[in-house]
Amino acid sequence: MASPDQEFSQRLERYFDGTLSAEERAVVEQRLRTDPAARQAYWEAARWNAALNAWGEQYAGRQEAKLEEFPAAPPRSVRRAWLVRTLAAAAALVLCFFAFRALRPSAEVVLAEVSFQRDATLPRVLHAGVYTISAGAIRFETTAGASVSVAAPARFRLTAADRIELASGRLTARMTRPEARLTVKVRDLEVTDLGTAFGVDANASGRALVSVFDGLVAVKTSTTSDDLHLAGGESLVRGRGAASAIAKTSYDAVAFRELWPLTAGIDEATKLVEFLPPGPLLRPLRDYRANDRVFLFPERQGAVVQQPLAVDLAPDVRTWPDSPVSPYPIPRGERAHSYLVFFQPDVASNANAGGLRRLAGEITFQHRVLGVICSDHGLDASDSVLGIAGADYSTPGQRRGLEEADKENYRGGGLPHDSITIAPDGRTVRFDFHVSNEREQMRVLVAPE
Amino acid sequence: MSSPSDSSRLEHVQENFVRHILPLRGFIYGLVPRRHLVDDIVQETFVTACQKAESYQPDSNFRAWIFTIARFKALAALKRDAGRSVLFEPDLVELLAKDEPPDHGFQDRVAALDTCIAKLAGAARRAVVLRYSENLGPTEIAQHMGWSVNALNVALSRARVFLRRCVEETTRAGKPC
Repeated sequence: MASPDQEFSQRLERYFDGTLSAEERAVVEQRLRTDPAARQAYWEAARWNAALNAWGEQYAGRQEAKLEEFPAAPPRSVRRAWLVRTLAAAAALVLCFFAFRALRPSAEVVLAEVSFQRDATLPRVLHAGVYTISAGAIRFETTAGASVSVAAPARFRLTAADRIELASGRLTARMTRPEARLTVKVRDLEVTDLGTAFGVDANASGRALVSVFDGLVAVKTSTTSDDLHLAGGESLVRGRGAASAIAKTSYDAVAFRELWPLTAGIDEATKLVEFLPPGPLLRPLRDYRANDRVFLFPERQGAVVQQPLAVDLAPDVRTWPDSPVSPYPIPRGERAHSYLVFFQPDVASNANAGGLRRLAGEITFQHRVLGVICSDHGLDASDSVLGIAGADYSTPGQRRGLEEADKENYRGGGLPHDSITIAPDGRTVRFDFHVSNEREQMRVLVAPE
Repeated sequence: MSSPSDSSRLEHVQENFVRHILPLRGFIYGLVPRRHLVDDIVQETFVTACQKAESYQPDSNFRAWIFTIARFKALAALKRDAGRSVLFEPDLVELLAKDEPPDHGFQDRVAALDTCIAKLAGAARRAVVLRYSENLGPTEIAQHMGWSVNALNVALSRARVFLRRCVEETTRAGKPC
């Protein structure tokens, strides 16, 4: 068994390696705060870690420099013909080398920045190169305007800001601006975005799946002369082996379930939040029912507000319904991603379960929250601007917003009001719903960047 | 417009910055042991040092001056990432920075590592190169090498123990071990 000092040293090693758990980190922090000798031990370990890193940086530089070595000149005594041939060969080599250097992306050029990691340890900025993640998931934003999420286990090569070769794993991509572009190569398929969101699954069996959540992609193969086009709500599958056929198949978004939140621009959510699949609604909204959770439905992304849009909660008025101030409307011209968060009871089983319950949790978005709409009128008025075309939001004769006041005599008891808060980080919405057998909805508006 | 003395002070600061870059990076690694953050902080420190070159007194302690700027930049970086970081709390890092002992052998240790790493067995050397040159985490290295993460951690730990002993012997004797 390790002595206390050995254990402390091992924990410091794990801290420097990035593998120390939060609990262990708290223990180490406590000791460092109170023990001067531990702080001396820390600096010894830190200097050692820094020396290894400095060596690593120098080693990487030397490896790079080896590529720059010019072939040595031959001795003068050799025959002239040999000299000419050698120089010609050397010149050809150097020309090839510089042509190669000119054509390949520089290892120093930043192609993407990581915006989210869960249990993965990629560097914050990504250059051209091969990346492997063995646990968790990541999301990175390319400089060409794509937001790319990858679930482990996965291995991919970033070859340019607009090109990724996926060797294994699942990847989803969403274009964040109109001029954004991205091509994903998987097996012998090249999937090129034409203004859209899509997913690519390169699984271990050799099969490749492409699903388009929204918009259009072009798929090029080595066996067909023309591009295939896939639209939102369509999927394509490529079987194992070079001779396997490529065929459209029924829309499959389930393969990308783990990436749905990241693809939609959501970093974290309480477990009682269930995400609807991206893409066209597979069932009417009214069919999504549960008594123990809320649903989250990504609506229009990057919608432009045409008229000042009234909200019930905004960053300058962080708590609803207790705030004494009405928030300012979102001004005309502002762009927003919209998300509908709703509770919709399964009435039959709710009656059996006794009805009243509390659902509390939080959702952290990638970018800052612009506002939340949770009144009946506000929700109705914003459906046409922020809702998905074809989705039926109507609730004839019934409420849909949150309860802003306690109900004293509700089914023989009291039903407290709902409340929502924008957390100090500006990206997290906390909700505390008291629900019964009526639907409750709120629409969260988030800045696109 | 800057005066000739301003430009000579700027040159002085830039020359000294280059001279101190290795121990400076070592110091920042001690405060925020993540390479991408170290790169960012070194860059921000350089920019601030150039901006403040006019107020720098050439006969004062350059190391103390530049390390102080770097300490503030490191703390700012930690505070920016507060709540999401896997690094120590900023107040603890501040305490550690104040307790930083003098270090005079950093460059010698780095130089000695070349010889010592060459003595490692092939797989251990590969793991060390992936960890410190390619800056991969233990999980990624284990996957690259087809090892379990546990086996990789044990191998890395043993390699570090060997290297530390080898470097200490090398720097003490003034020759390769």
